Amino acid sequence: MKGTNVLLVVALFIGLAFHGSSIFFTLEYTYDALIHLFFADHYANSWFEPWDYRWYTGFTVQGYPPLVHQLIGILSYIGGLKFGLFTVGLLAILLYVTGAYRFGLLMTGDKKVAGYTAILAVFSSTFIETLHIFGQLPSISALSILMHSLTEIYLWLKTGKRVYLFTSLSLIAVTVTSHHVTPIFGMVFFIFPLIGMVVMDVSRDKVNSYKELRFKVFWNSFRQLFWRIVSFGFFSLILIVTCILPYWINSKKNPITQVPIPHGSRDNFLEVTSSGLVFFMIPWGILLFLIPYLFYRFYSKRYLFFGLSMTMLTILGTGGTTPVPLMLLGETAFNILTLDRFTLWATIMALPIFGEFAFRMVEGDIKEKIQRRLGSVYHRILGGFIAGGVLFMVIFTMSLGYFRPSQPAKIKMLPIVNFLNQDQHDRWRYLPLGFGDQMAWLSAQTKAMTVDGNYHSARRLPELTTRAIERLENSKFRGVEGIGSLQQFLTVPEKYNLKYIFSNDKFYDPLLYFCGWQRLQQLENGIMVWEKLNVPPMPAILPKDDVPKWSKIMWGVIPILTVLVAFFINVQMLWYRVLKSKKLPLPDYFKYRVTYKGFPGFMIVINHIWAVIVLICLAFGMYKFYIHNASQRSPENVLTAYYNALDFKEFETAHSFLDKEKEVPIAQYMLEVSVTDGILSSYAKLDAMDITISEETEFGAKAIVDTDWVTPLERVKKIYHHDLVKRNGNWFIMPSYLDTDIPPDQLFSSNDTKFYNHGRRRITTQQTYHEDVLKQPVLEVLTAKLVKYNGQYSVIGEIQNVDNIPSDVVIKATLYNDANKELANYDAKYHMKHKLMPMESTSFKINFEGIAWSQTKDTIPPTFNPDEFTPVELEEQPTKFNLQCAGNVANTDLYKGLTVQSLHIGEQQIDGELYNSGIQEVTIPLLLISYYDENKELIWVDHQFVKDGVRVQRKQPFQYNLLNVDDVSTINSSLKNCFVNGLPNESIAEKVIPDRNQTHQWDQLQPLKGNSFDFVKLELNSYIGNPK
Amino acid sequence: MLGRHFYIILFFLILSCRGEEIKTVVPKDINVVGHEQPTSIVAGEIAQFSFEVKGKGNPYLLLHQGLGPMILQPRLDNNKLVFTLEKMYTRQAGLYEWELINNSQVVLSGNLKVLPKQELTTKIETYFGPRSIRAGGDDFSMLFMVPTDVYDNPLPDGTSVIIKRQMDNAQDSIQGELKNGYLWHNLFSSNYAGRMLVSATVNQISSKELTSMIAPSNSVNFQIDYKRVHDYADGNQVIEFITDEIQDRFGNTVADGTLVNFQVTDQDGARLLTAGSTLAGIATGKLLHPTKASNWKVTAYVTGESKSNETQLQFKPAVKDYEVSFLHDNRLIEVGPIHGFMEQLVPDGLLITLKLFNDKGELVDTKLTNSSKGKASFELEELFYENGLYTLQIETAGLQKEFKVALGTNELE
Repeated sequence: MKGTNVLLVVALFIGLAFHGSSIFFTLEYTYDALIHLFFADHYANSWFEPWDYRWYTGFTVQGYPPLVHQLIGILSYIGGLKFGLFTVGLLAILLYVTGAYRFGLLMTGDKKVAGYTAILAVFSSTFIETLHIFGQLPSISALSILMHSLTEIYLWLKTGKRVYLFTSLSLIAVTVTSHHVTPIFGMVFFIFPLIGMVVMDVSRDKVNSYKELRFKVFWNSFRQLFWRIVSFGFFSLILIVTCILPYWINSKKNPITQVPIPHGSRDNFLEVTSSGLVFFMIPWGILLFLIPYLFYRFYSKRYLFFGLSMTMLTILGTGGTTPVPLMLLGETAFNILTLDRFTLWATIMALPIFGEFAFRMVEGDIKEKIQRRLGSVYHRILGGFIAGGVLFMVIFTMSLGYFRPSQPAKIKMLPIVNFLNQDQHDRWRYLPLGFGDQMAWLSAQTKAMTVDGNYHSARRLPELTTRAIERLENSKFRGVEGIGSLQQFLTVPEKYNLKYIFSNDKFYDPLLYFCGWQRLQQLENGIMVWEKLNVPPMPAILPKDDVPKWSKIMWGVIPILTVLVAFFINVQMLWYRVLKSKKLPLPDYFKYRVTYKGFPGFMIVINHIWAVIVLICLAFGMYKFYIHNASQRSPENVLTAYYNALDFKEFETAHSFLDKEKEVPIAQYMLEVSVTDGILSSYAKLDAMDITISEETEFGAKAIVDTDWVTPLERVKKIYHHDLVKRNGNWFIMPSYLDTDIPPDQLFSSNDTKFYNHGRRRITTQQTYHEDVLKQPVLEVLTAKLVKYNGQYSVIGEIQNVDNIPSDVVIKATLYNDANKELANYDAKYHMKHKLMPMESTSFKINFEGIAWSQTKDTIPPTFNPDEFTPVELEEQPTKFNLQCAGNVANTDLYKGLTVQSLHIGEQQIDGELYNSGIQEVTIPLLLISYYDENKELIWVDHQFVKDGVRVQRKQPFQYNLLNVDDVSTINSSLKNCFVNGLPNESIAEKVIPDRNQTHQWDQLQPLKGNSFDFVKLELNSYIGNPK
Repeated sequence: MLGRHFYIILFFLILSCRGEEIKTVVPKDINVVGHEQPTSIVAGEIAQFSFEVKGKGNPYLLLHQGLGPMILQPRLDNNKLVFTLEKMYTRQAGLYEWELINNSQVVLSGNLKVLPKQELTTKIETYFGPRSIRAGGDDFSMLFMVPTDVYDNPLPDGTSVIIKRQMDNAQDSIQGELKNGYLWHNLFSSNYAGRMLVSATVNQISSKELTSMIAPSNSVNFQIDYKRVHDYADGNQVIEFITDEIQDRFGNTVADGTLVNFQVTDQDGARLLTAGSTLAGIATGKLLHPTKASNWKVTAYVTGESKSNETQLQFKPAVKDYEVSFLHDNRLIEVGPIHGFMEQLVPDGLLITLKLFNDKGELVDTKLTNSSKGKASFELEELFYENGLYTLQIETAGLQKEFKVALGTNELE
């Protein structure tokens, strides 16, 4: 062996050129890279202070090994955070390619094979995925350094030269400080088999052939090496513990209370094929075809232990497909670990053998054998197939992020950063919605704080740790549970000093509106800012969990120190190796090079059979995919396809399923679809669908489609009836009738009172001038009661704006027991109109939900469903309540154009029509229904979202099923502890409307003899999706 | 802990021992023979204290003032010790106490009054609130002021203040005197809504303009009327309910935006609801005409404060009759042409309901459609409705028709 390895140089060259240039287009769109950037920003700003206030109402960065973050942080002083990120990315690529080379060299003892390994490593789909799609920089760096350390460990164990102990330990230390999971599992899956291999090599030296190598020889060699193994194990354990000691202390002190968050790598890959693709097919890539060869080589005597480890990793990497990983890891580890890392390690471990295969295929014995047996043309075709396969996987994996972006489009952060810096907006917390992982990049650019965050192991708020959601920001992807968690934050924002929301996804808009938020402005980058009134700013001093000074110093110093130490210890060897300035003795592992001769023919056969099986599986998968898409084969299929098309707003596809003979032209259909607005058509995601075919003849069918939608507000069930016909063997849906109603006026006018609030009239950096502070509008609580219904407590009542200006209303109720002990408090969510015109009143209801989780930590419900609401586990019986109402001047969302046009009162239900008499399109109408007894005393308040919007001058029918309010019991009915803007309600009532005429309220009730009620009242609240 | 306390005590012991030593070793005493010092100055002036003393020592003047103690060192002038309090130290008005101290002992002490510099009154700090009150003379805004001199000292008690007020197109002024450095005054509303502007003047210096809105008081009962194109129940035209100008008991128009609920009770006792917010006292509520003959009673409320008269109105049926024809073995049902009140085709969108009962009287299906060009049709395809006897109920514009039909034949009962 002489000279520089050309293959390695080529690998490095291509690797840096290919990955190094493409990271600029991929890394920022990955899942993790921006999180690391945020951590790096933390270190760049406060190196020795592990507490960061910006996420999760404060968290400690000691929950993640700091090396990579600190490196980015240091480099950011030169050229900014992104410069640091990309530089570290380039370093990781460099380390990875050289690491793969050295690992290959160690395993095979053949520079050529190692060169092939390096080249294949560059094109390995698992690496591409980890770097360009997941962005797991620390994981890649740690794994690369681990590969570097393997050679040193081997040499220490084999030769016993102390210098190798130091070099190996120095590299282990760097691994530990960059990623905690890698060295721990790396010990098990890489170093244990390596030890086995060393022992095997030592045994091999004692005998003449592997055949003679029996267990006894092996055992003797093991005893011979025992102390080297133990010393290495002992010292590396010490390093693992001490290098990131604060991390271990932190994990002990703040155990991860997070409930398991679903991760695709734990899915059954056969059921969830998308997870199978991302976590199995892509990482394995072309290696899938070579599995028999891999195991054939790994189960040869020298690699036996690697073979075992490889088998384990392969099985663990299959996630929930087989029950084995769950059994092996146990419930806890299975739910905390992301299992894709096992596949990553398996595929990395397979690289040297893959390199060996490539070598033998290109210029070794396999080539000879195939050419001899099957002809040289076949060999070329086969080679072309494999090379093509590798290339295909590279391009496929790289393009995945382009065709199926995991992130929303890149958001310009500057307007948001400027907004937060203006006018002391950063004195409140903010919450981004629909930002994806870019929220971390926003956080890195501002000092303002958010209640959300992107490193869920560090969460502290029980509202978050008890939810299996990744972030609040993308809670819609976690269905009702995610929305439920978000609702808590939106309903009681003052608890978290949460005042601003940056919405990049209009899906959340109705939820924000009905929780009492209002639009503030649209920023230049299209992000809508929502604000909530009456939220106090954050206190000047925020709590933090402090750690001792030594821990901070350790955390700040050791990681970088390990890099420096490793550099100085290894630099000499590196110098000799790379520049060949000194002749080095050939390392020991070169002795165990195999001469590749006489590849067994049966392996070629077996591998061919296997490849055919894999191909058949792929073909079958594609066939299934096609059949699934054959949408008109049965009534069920066509309905499923139709609703899916509607759900994804593919109206042209949806139209193609309609009966052609009852021709509705596509233009007409698109028009109809485009004018319908409402919670279902604009803000819902189809969650489940149940199709019942009630009557089916040969050419016709009637179907009842039971749909289940997740909306930002609640789960909506809606039943649709369809008639279907079969024409030319294909099923079609008969179009429903068309609403031909036309409004009377083409053009009409409307007068409206509009309000404008200057905010601060004088521009000042100090507090707002006294004259620029508006008086809080005066409200009056008309009735308030603590009631119990179906086992849960609610405070219901009516409140009126008795001032001359419109008011935003926030109502907070607190429950007390007889001993005046506070039991729970909560705000009114959407059982009220949050904005009231002068003299307007609203019924309200406050349910006590959030408290359940903050008080009784062990009875946390596993899932949250707004419909099946979990009542509070109150320790004691509430007997009193306190109501704090606050009015603030409102100037938006004051639309009152919605009216009740007609009403038919049945025994069990009310049918009616809403009519929109104003000039704004109402997207989601809300009905508030209050029940009264024969004395016209309020008993209960209920709500219903009308599923479709109401267009201007048009009607929308609604149906409401009356409740049985028989078991509502009133516990306390008193206005004694009701306060408005901090003043007792009583004094306001006496002062503002001293001679209030009670009959006005009573006159407006609808007499309705029902189940233990005698009157109802209907009130309307309208959400306008696109205010004009 | 014990050790630490011990050291602290030891430290103080050593210190105190040293103090004792100085006293005993170098005794110094002085006597004041004569002195001259001001008892009262105006803020920003120089104060000179001079003392004629005998004896030896290092006397100094200790001055206690609002910002804390201050030590002045003397200057010797004709055997007199002269202490000068420079003008930058006399900016704060108030009582200054001085002590001549020698050898840690007070030799002489006295007071110096520093008065605010009234002739240089520069600023009147004012607060006025609440920023809006109600008309009627019961509600008030309070004006609170602290006039200050050039050094930000409040002026002495008894300083006269003039409060000027502009309200209801007239001005008046109120005299007042400062007490404890400030003055407050409650300014009551009149019977008229509008704006109250106030300012204050002290020593020819005026405050900024302050304002309080006088909002109208509670509204009193009012009248409503309605406007419509015709009195037919065509379900298409819009009827408007309009209030007259809603006022409070003093004749002020109620605040813009005041919500008025219009409650409509139809002949079945159903309460329909529309609302409007006032603009110049007038609120408008809109509803569509009903689809069938109706009898409406309308009352408007400003809930809790006032209500309107009850007004009654009728809607005549817009459609007198319509035709229904059966085609294609009774499987195609055509409704119409439907004619309106002047024989025109009814406007598009009239809702037509078809209820299909089988021969056992069970409801099989309900179909809905809207009229278009005065017509509508239902198709009962064989795929979904077997041949047989059915009862069909067709309803539109409040008119119901029932037919017994055999599907699949031409028979009609």
